[in-house]
Amino acid sequence: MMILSIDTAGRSDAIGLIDGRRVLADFVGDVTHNSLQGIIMNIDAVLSNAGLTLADVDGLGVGIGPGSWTGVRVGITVGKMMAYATGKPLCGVSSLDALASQAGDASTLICSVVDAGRGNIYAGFYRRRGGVTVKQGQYTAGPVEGLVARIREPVLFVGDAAQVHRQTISALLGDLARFMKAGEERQGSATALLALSRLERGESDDALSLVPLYLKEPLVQALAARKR
Amino acid sequence: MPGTVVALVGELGSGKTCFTRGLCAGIGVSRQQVRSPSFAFVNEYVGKLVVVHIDLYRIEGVEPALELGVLDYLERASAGVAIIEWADRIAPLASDAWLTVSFSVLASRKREIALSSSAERLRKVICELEP
Amino acid sequence: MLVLGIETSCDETAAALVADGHILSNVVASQMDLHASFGGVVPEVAARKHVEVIGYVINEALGSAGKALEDVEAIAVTSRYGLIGCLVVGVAAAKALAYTLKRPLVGIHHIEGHIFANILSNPHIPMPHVCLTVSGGHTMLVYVKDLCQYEVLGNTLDDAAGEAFDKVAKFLGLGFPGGPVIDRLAAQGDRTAYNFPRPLRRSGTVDFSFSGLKTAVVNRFKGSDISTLPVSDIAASFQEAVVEHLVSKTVQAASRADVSAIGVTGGVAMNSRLREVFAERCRQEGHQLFFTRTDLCGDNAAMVAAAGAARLAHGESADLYLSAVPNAPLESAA
Repeated sequence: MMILSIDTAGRSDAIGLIDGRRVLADFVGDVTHNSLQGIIMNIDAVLSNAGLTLADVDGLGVGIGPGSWTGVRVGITVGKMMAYATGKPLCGVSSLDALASQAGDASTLICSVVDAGRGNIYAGFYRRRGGVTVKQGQYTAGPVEGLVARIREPVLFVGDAAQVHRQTISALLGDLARFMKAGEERQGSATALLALSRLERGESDDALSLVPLYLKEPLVQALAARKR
Repeated sequence: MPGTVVALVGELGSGKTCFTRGLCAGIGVSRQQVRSPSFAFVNEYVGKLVVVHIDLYRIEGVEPALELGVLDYLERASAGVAIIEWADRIAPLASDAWLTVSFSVLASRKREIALSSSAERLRKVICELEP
Repeated sequence: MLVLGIETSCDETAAALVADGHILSNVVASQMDLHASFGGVVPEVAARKHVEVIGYVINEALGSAGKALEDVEAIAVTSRYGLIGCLVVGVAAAKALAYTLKRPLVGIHHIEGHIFANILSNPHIPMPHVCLTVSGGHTMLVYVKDLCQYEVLGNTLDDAAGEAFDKVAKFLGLGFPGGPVIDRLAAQGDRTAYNFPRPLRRSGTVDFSFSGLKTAVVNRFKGSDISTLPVSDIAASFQEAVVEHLVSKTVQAASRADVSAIGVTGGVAMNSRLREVFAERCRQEGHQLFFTRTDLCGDNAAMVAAAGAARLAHGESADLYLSAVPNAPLESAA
């Protein structure tokens, strides 16, 4: 199955193009970017560089966040409208899940992290089970310190936000904290590969009703708690 | 000073936008540019610093404010100044380091304005302003 | 040419199909009954829920016009003037559709949209003319030299007229939006009961100001028990001051610009007293008066489609790098 994916929830846009499990294109945009401005032409470039058009694609994957509230809207709207216009199946993929899947066959606890602004982050915890990255518990939102305070075992952090808060995390966790090497971060194809698993099973999301994953409640609670 | 957030609190007609106009004039933004953002929530002006003028009159609480992207706007204002009218609507997001300006109506042409902040540099400014 | 219009600049999510000045569909989310259309799990229709409803709104615009996406020949979207977090949804949708369907795309300024709502309603309105756009978010006087050629003559210095209605209505405990309820109550009230200050009466400009008037009303009755106040009289008197201000400045602008025609558009254009006073004044001064149809006064996408058609006819279109510009002036290029 040929899958095209986009994720605009993070600081840079990520576009992936895969043919089954074979990665045809893995694009990550600039950090100082305007998702809305470049997204369509970047998608077009990814497709034409692979000698393909949108018509050749069998399914679409789209990052639904969490991340920038404005940023995620761009990608999810583009994904919804492309699916609506082409009739192709669409899969929404959590941006935290996509990040975590990039940790590959990690033997430790994995923690994917996305910036939430004002010193807060969104995070998810995962473990590798039988070659699959499995989410542990619920996503959380809150200050870095609060998140890290609960960790008592080695953990591999994934995501730009982890690099941004690296000093704080290392200070609190010492050797327990490991980080994905810079440059290994943010693969565009991660979203496509996660969409593929669901699409292969015949599962997809309804294009018209797909909405972002904002994690509003956890974030609001975290902000209120911080005030106290 | 870049990164300052000015929180304006006071009822309808107490002078928040008027104060904003004066504050903006001091940053090099002409008075005519400053309009009420009550409907559109945010106006941006460019003077010596970028000014992000937010009005939360139509916002019921923290969640709608987040959906509006208030965090993104505060981020944009970190290189300039953010002025937030009806800042009490997002009390949980507020920081004591903000400069809080409270307005009370004493009479039809009289207002009382009180300034407070926990940020050291702002406290110094407030002391200098004491009549 | 069949144009799909999309509008998401502030509170409303809207889509419409317009062909050569004929409105085939005009869908506005707040007026859709999503439960009736789709049942099951439907998004909450509320202000600014653009991502949640954009697909439904576009789908309904096509369905109710009996058209398929493939029939759409061009796409017009409000891309200038509005809230960035809201504009991006409409622009993203428009770009995705334009790319997928390989159709031309054009970005429209929100106020130009309102001006076209007036032109759509009155296809033979003379050029040039002066157009007043008055709503919750805007109070602007524009010299419309010709299609797509504008000069801003006047603007509000503080609050928009509709905003003043909302704030006074809220103060009087009348609910939101304030315009319609004040309009209704005022009909039963005495508009001479209170003499609220007429803004900028001595000013030579054709700018507007409503903040002082709003404050005057609030300060006059603050501290009183709302239930004892003659709310209809207050509403009528306040409305009278707003209407007089809007009409006198607009007529002044038309005379100065030496045009014989005045267009009135935007949400507040639905106000009955405004329509009455404008009609009277224009009769006296010999101006032709053109109101926007009530179903096109509020934010909608039919006006955007019409503006798009005009821009495309002028040979203008956007490329797929089109972005959203929240603060763009009306006269700015696409």
